[in-house]
Amino acid sequence: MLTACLTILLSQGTLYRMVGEREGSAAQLRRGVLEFCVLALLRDGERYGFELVQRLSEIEGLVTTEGTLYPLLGRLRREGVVETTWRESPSGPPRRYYQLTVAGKAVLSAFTDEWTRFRNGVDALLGTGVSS
Amino acid sequence: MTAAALPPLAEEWLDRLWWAAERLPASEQADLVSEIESHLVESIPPGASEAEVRQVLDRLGDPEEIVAEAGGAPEPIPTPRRGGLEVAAIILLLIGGFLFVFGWLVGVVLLWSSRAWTLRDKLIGTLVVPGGFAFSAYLLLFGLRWDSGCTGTDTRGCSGNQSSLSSGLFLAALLVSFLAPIFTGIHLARSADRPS
Repeated sequence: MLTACLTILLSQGTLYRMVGEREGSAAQLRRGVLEFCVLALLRDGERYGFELVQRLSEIEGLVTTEGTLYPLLGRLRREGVVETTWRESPSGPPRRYYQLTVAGKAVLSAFTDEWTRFRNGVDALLGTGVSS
Repeated sequence: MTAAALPPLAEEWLDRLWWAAERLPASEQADLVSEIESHLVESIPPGASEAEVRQVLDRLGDPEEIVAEAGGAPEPIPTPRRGGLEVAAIILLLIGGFLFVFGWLVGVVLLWSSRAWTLRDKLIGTLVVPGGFAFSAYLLLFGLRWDSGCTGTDTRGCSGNQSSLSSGLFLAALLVSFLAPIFTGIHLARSADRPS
Protein backbone atom coordinates (compact mmCIF):
# COMPACT_ATOMS: atom_id res chain seq x y z
CA MET A 1 0.00 0.00 0.00
CA LEU A 2 2.71 2.39 1.10
CA THR A 3 4.91 1.33 -1.79
CA ALA A 4 2.07 1.92 -4.22
CA CYS A 5 1.52 5.41 -2.79
CA LEU A 6 5.23 6.18 -3.01
CA THR A 7 5.41 4.93 -6.58
CA ILE A 8 2.49 7.13 -7.58
CA LEU A 9 4.00 10.14 -5.82
CA LEU A 10 7.39 9.57 -7.41
CA SER A 11 6.01 9.07 -10.90
CA GLN A 12 3.92 12.21 -10.54
CA GLY A 13 7.03 14.09 -9.50
CA THR A 14 8.78 12.87 -12.64
CA LEU A 15 5.77 13.83 -14.71
CA TYR A 16 5.72 17.35 -13.27
CA ARG A 17 9.41 17.68 -13.93
CA MET A 18 9.04 16.53 -17.50
CA VAL A 19 6.17 18.93 -18.14
CA GLY A 20 8.23 21.67 -16.51
CA GLU A 21 11.14 21.03 -18.85
CA ARG A 22 8.82 21.09 -21.84
CA GLU A 23 7.47 24.43 -20.67
CA GLY A 24 11.06 25.63 -20.61
CA SER A 25 11.50 24.77 -24.28
CA ALA A 26 8.16 26.41 -25.13
CA ALA A 27 9.52 29.56 -23.50
CA GLN A 28 12.62 29.28 -25.67
CA LEU A 29 10.44 28.95 -28.74
CA ARG A 30 8.59 32.13 -27.73
CA ARG A 31 11.83 33.96 -27.16
CA GLY A 32 13.09 32.84 -30.53
CA VAL A 33 10.16 34.24 -32.48
CA LEU A 34 9.71 37.39 -30.40
CA GLU A 35 12.23 39.50 -32.26
CA PHE A 36 10.61 38.65 -35.57
CA CYS A 37 7.26 39.66 -34.15
CA VAL A 38 8.80 43.06 -33.34
CA LEU A 39 10.06 43.36 -36.91
CA ALA A 40 6.65 42.31 -38.24
CA LEU A 41 4.93 45.01 -36.19
CA LEU A 42 7.23 47.58 -37.80
CA ARG A 43 6.55 46.34 -41.35
CA ASP A 44 3.87 48.94 -41.96
CA GLY A 45 5.63 51.85 -40.38
CA GLU A 46 7.28 53.22 -37.30
CA ARG A 47 6.06 52.67 -33.76
CA TYR A 48 7.32 53.80 -30.40
CA GLY A 49 8.54 51.45 -27.69
CA PHE A 50 5.51 51.45 -25.43
CA GLU A 51 3.21 50.91 -28.40
CA LEU A 52 5.27 47.90 -29.54
CA VAL A 53 5.23 46.42 -26.07
CA GLN A 54 1.46 46.87 -25.81
CA ARG A 55 0.82 45.23 -29.15
CA LEU A 56 3.08 42.28 -28.33
CA SER A 57 1.45 41.84 -24.91
CA GLU A 58 -1.92 41.49 -26.58
CA ILE A 59 -0.75 38.29 -28.27
CA GLU A 60 -1.63 35.52 -25.88
CA GLY A 61 1.27 33.61 -24.42
CA LEU A 62 3.96 35.56 -26.27
CA VAL A 63 5.21 37.94 -23.60
CA THR A 64 5.57 36.97 -19.95
CA THR A 65 7.34 40.06 -18.66
CA GLU A 66 6.95 43.28 -20.61
CA GLY A 67 10.15 44.75 -19.23
CA THR A 68 12.33 42.20 -21.02
CA LEU A 69 11.12 43.52 -24.38
CA TYR A 70 13.11 46.74 -23.95
CA PRO A 71 16.50 45.00 -23.89
CA LEU A 72 15.35 43.20 -27.04
CA LEU A 73 14.56 46.52 -28.73
CA GLY A 74 18.00 47.80 -27.71
CA ARG A 75 19.66 44.73 -29.17
CA LEU A 76 17.78 45.01 -32.47
CA ARG A 77 18.90 48.63 -32.69
CA ARG A 78 22.54 47.74 -32.05
CA GLU A 79 22.33 44.95 -34.61
CA GLY A 80 21.14 47.50 -37.16
CA VAL A 81 17.84 45.83 -38.06
CA VAL A 82 15.89 48.77 -36.64
CA GLU A 83 16.73 52.44 -36.27
CA THR A 84 15.18 55.01 -34.00
CA THR A 85 14.21 58.65 -34.04
CA TRP A 86 13.02 60.82 -31.21
CA ARG A 87 9.73 62.64 -31.72
CA GLU A 88 7.70 64.90 -29.53
CA SER A 89 4.66 63.29 -28.01
CA PRO A 90 1.27 65.02 -27.86
CA SER A 91 1.40 64.33 -24.14
CA GLY A 92 4.31 63.53 -21.88
CA PRO A 93 7.99 63.05 -22.68
CA PRO A 94 9.39 62.64 -26.22
CA ARG A 95 9.06 59.16 -27.69
CA ARG A 96 11.65 57.01 -29.36
CA TYR A 97 10.20 55.66 -32.61
CA TYR A 98 11.48 52.42 -34.10
CA GLN A 99 11.50 51.60 -37.79
CA LEU A 100 12.92 48.83 -39.95
CA THR A 101 16.21 49.34 -41.73
CA VAL A 102 16.91 47.74 -45.10
CA ALA A 103 18.70 44.93 -43.27
CA GLY A 104 15.68 44.56 -40.98
CA LYS A 105 13.33 44.19 -43.95
CA ALA A 106 15.58 41.47 -45.40
CA VAL A 107 15.69 39.64 -42.05
CA LEU A 108 11.91 39.79 -41.75
CA SER A 109 11.36 38.51 -45.25
CA ALA A 110 13.81 35.64 -44.76
CA PHE A 111 12.15 34.69 -41.50
CA THR A 112 8.70 34.80 -43.09
CA ASP A 113 9.76 32.16 -45.62
CA GLU A 114 11.52 30.11 -42.98
CA TRP A 115 8.54 30.29 -40.64
CA THR A 116 6.08 29.20 -43.30
CA ARG A 117 8.09 26.09 -44.09
CA PHE A 118 8.70 25.37 -40.41
CA ARG A 119 5.05 25.84 -39.49
CA ASN A 120 3.78 23.67 -42.34
CA GLY A 121 6.16 20.89 -41.41
CA VAL A 122 5.25 20.94 -37.73
CA ASP A 123 1.52 21.27 -38.51
CA ALA A 124 1.73 18.21 -40.73
CA LEU A 125 3.32 16.21 -37.93
CA LEU A 126 0.96 17.42 -35.21
CA GLY A 127 -2.10 17.15 -37.41
CA THR A 128 -2.92 20.75 -36.62
CA GLY A 129 -2.80 22.09 -40.15
CA VAL A 130 -5.80 23.97 -41.52
CA SER A 131 -5.63 22.33 -44.95
CA SER A 132 -7.82 19.26 -45.28
CA MET B 1 13.08 63.71 -18.93
CA THR B 2 10.06 62.80 -16.87
CA ALA B 3 7.27 65.24 -17.51
CA ALA B 4 4.94 63.92 -14.86
CA ALA B 5 6.30 62.78 -11.55
CA LEU B 6 6.01 59.03 -11.08
CA PRO B 7 4.45 57.61 -7.95
CA PRO B 8 7.08 56.77 -5.29
CA LEU B 9 6.54 53.05 -5.81
CA ALA B 10 7.43 53.35 -9.50
CA GLU B 11 10.39 55.63 -8.76
CA GLU B 12 11.68 53.05 -6.34
CA TRP B 13 11.36 50.31 -8.92
CA LEU B 14 13.13 52.49 -11.50
CA ASP B 15 15.97 53.08 -9.04
CA ARG B 16 16.37 49.34 -8.62
CA LEU B 17 16.50 48.99 -12.40
CA TRP B 18 19.12 51.74 -12.62
CA TRP B 19 21.33 50.02 -10.07
CA ALA B 20 20.88 46.60 -11.64
CA ALA B 21 21.76 48.10 -15.04
CA GLU B 22 25.03 49.50 -13.65
CA ARG B 23 26.79 46.46 -15.06
CA LEU B 24 25.75 47.30 -18.62
CA PRO B 25 27.76 49.70 -20.79
CA ALA B 26 26.79 53.25 -19.75
CA SER B 27 24.93 54.09 -22.97
CA GLU B 28 22.90 50.89 -22.82
CA GLN B 29 22.08 51.54 -19.20
CA ALA B 30 20.81 55.04 -20.01
CA ASP B 31 18.80 53.83 -23.01
CA LEU B 32 17.19 50.96 -21.16
CA VAL B 33 16.24 53.01 -18.13
CA SER B 34 14.91 55.93 -20.17
CA GLU B 35 12.80 53.63 -22.36
CA ILE B 36 11.28 51.94 -19.35
CA GLU B 37 10.78 55.26 -17.63
CA SER B 38 8.76 56.36 -20.68
CA HIS B 39 6.82 53.11 -20.39
CA LEU B 40 5.98 53.91 -16.78
CA VAL B 41 4.97 57.47 -17.61
CA GLU B 42 2.75 56.23 -20.45
CA SER B 43 1.13 53.42 -18.52
CA ILE B 44 0.58 55.00 -15.11
CA PRO B 45 -2.10 57.68 -15.35
CA PRO B 46 -1.80 60.60 -12.92
CA GLY B 47 -3.49 59.73 -9.66
CA ALA B 48 -3.31 55.98 -10.26
CA SER B 49 -3.99 53.85 -7.20
CA GLU B 50 -1.22 51.87 -5.58
CA ALA B 51 -2.80 48.65 -6.87
CA GLU B 52 -2.74 49.97 -10.43
CA VAL B 53 0.91 50.95 -10.10
CA ARG B 54 1.76 47.54 -8.71
CA GLN B 55 0.02 45.89 -11.61
CA VAL B 56 2.05 47.88 -14.13
CA LEU B 57 5.27 46.98 -12.30
CA ASP B 58 4.31 43.31 -12.07
CA ARG B 59 3.74 43.21 -15.79
CA LEU B 60 7.14 44.79 -16.38
CA GLY B 61 8.83 42.13 -14.28
CA ASP B 62 11.88 42.09 -12.08
CA PRO B 63 14.65 44.67 -12.75
CA GLU B 64 17.33 41.98 -12.38
CA GLU B 65 15.60 39.80 -14.94
CA ILE B 66 15.31 42.70 -17.37
CA VAL B 67 19.01 43.52 -17.06
CA ALA B 68 19.93 39.85 -17.44
CA GLU B 69 17.94 39.90 -20.70
CA ALA B 70 20.00 42.90 -21.77
CA GLY B 71 23.07 40.72 -21.56
CA GLY B 72 24.29 41.83 -18.16
CA ALA B 73 25.07 38.54 -16.46
CA PRO B 74 23.18 38.34 -13.19
CA GLU B 75 25.13 39.20 -10.07
CA PRO B 76 27.53 36.29 -9.66
CA ILE B 77 26.23 34.03 -6.94
CA PRO B 78 29.32 33.39 -4.86
CA THR B 79 30.05 29.70 -5.04
CA PRO B 80 31.00 28.39 -1.65
CA ARG B 81 34.77 28.69 -1.63
CA ARG B 82 36.83 28.46 1.49
CA GLY B 83 34.29 29.34 4.15
CA GLY B 84 33.99 28.43 7.80
CA LEU B 85 33.08 24.88 6.92
CA GLU B 86 36.20 24.37 4.81
CA VAL B 87 38.51 25.92 7.43
CA ALA B 88 36.97 23.71 10.13
CA ALA B 89 37.35 20.66 7.91
CA ILE B 90 41.07 21.30 7.32
CA ILE B 91 41.77 21.99 11.02
CA LEU B 92 39.89 18.89 12.14
CA LEU B 93 41.59 16.73 9.51
CA LEU B 94 44.98 17.88 10.79
CA ILE B 95 44.55 17.88 14.55
CA GLY B 96 41.08 16.45 15.12
CA GLY B 97 42.65 13.03 15.59
CA PHE B 98 43.80 14.13 19.04
CA LEU B 99 40.17 14.34 20.12
CA PHE B 100 39.84 10.56 20.47
CA VAL B 101 39.88 10.18 16.66
CA PHE B 102 36.34 11.57 16.74
CA GLY B 103 37.46 15.08 15.72
CA TRP B 104 39.15 13.70 12.65
CA LEU B 105 35.98 11.81 11.69
CA VAL B 106 34.00 15.05 11.94
CA GLY B 107 36.64 16.62 9.71
CA VAL B 108 36.12 13.87 7.13
CA VAL B 109 32.36 14.41 7.20
CA LEU B 110 32.84 18.17 6.69
CA LEU B 111 35.34 17.51 3.90
CA TRP B 112 32.90 15.32 2.02
CA SER B 113 29.94 17.61 2.57
CA SER B 114 31.73 20.71 1.25
CA ARG B 115 31.17 21.66 -2.37
CA ALA B 116 34.49 23.48 -2.55
CA TRP B 117 36.48 20.31 -3.19
CA THR B 118 36.59 17.81 -6.00
CA LEU B 119 36.37 14.08 -5.48
CA ARG B 120 40.13 13.85 -5.88
CA ASP B 121 40.70 16.47 -3.18
CA LYS B 122 38.35 14.62 -0.89
CA LEU B 123 40.15 11.33 -1.40
CA ILE B 124 43.51 12.98 -0.75
CA GLY B 125 42.13 14.68 2.35
CA THR B 126 40.79 11.40 3.69
CA LEU B 127 43.52 8.98 2.75
CA VAL B 128 46.76 10.93 2.93
CA VAL B 129 47.48 10.13 6.53
CA PRO B 130 44.16 9.28 8.14
CA GLY B 131 44.10 10.90 11.56
CA GLY B 132 46.40 13.75 10.55
CA PHE B 133 49.09 14.70 13.06
CA ALA B 134 47.59 12.33 15.58
CA PHE B 135 48.89 9.55 13.39
CA SER B 136 52.48 10.81 13.60
CA ALA B 137 52.06 11.44 17.32
CA TYR B 138 50.88 7.87 17.71
CA LEU B 139 53.82 6.69 15.64
CA LEU B 140 56.20 8.71 17.80
CA LEU B 141 54.68 7.33 21.00
CA PHE B 142 54.78 3.78 19.69
CA GLY B 143 58.37 4.29 18.55
CA LEU B 144 59.52 5.62 21.90
CA ARG B 145 57.95 2.74 23.73
CA TRP B 146 59.57 0.34 21.31
CA ASP B 147 62.82 2.23 21.76
CA SER B 148 62.63 2.18 25.52
CA GLY B 149 61.89 -1.53 25.33
CA CYS B 150 65.23 -1.87 23.60
CA THR B 151 67.22 0.24 26.03
CA GLY B 152 65.78 -1.53 29.01
CA THR B 153 67.46 -4.30 30.92
CA ASP B 154 66.25 -6.90 28.49
CA THR B 155 68.35 -6.13 25.40
CA ARG B 156 67.77 -9.35 23.53
CA GLY B 157 67.07 -8.80 19.83
CA CYS B 158 68.36 -5.26 19.99
CA SER B 159 71.64 -5.65 18.22
CA GLY B 160 73.16 -2.32 17.24
CA ASN B 161 72.94 -2.65 13.43
CA GLN B 162 69.32 -3.76 13.31
CA SER B 163 68.34 -1.04 15.68
CA SER B 164 69.92 1.76 13.70
CA LEU B 165 68.42 0.44 10.46
CA SER B 166 64.91 0.24 11.88
CA SER B 167 65.27 3.54 13.67
CA GLY B 168 66.26 5.09 10.33
CA LEU B 169 63.13 3.67 8.75
CA PHE B 170 61.16 4.75 11.73
CA LEU B 171 62.43 8.33 11.50
CA ALA B 172 61.59 8.44 7.79
CA ALA B 173 58.07 7.15 8.45
CA LEU B 174 57.69 9.68 11.24
CA LEU B 175 58.87 12.51 8.99
CA VAL B 176 56.53 11.47 6.19
CA SER B 177 53.59 11.08 8.54
CA PHE B 178 54.33 14.56 9.87
CA LEU B 179 54.90 16.29 6.52
CA ALA B 180 52.10 14.61 4.57
CA PRO B 181 49.27 16.17 6.58
CA ILE B 182 50.92 19.58 6.16
CA PHE B 183 51.02 19.19 2.40
CA THR B 184 47.48 17.83 2.36
CA GLY B 185 46.31 20.79 4.43
CA ILE B 186 48.01 23.27 2.08
CA HIS B 187 46.64 21.45 -0.96
CA LEU B 188 43.08 21.50 0.42
CA ALA B 189 43.33 25.17 1.40
CA ARG B 190 44.53 26.06 -2.08
CA SER B 191 42.01 24.05 -4.03
CA ALA B 192 39.20 25.42 -1.86
CA ASP B 193 40.29 28.91 -2.95
CA ARG B 194 40.52 28.00 -6.60
CA PRO B 195 37.32 28.68 -8.51
CA SER B 196 36.02 25.39 -9.85
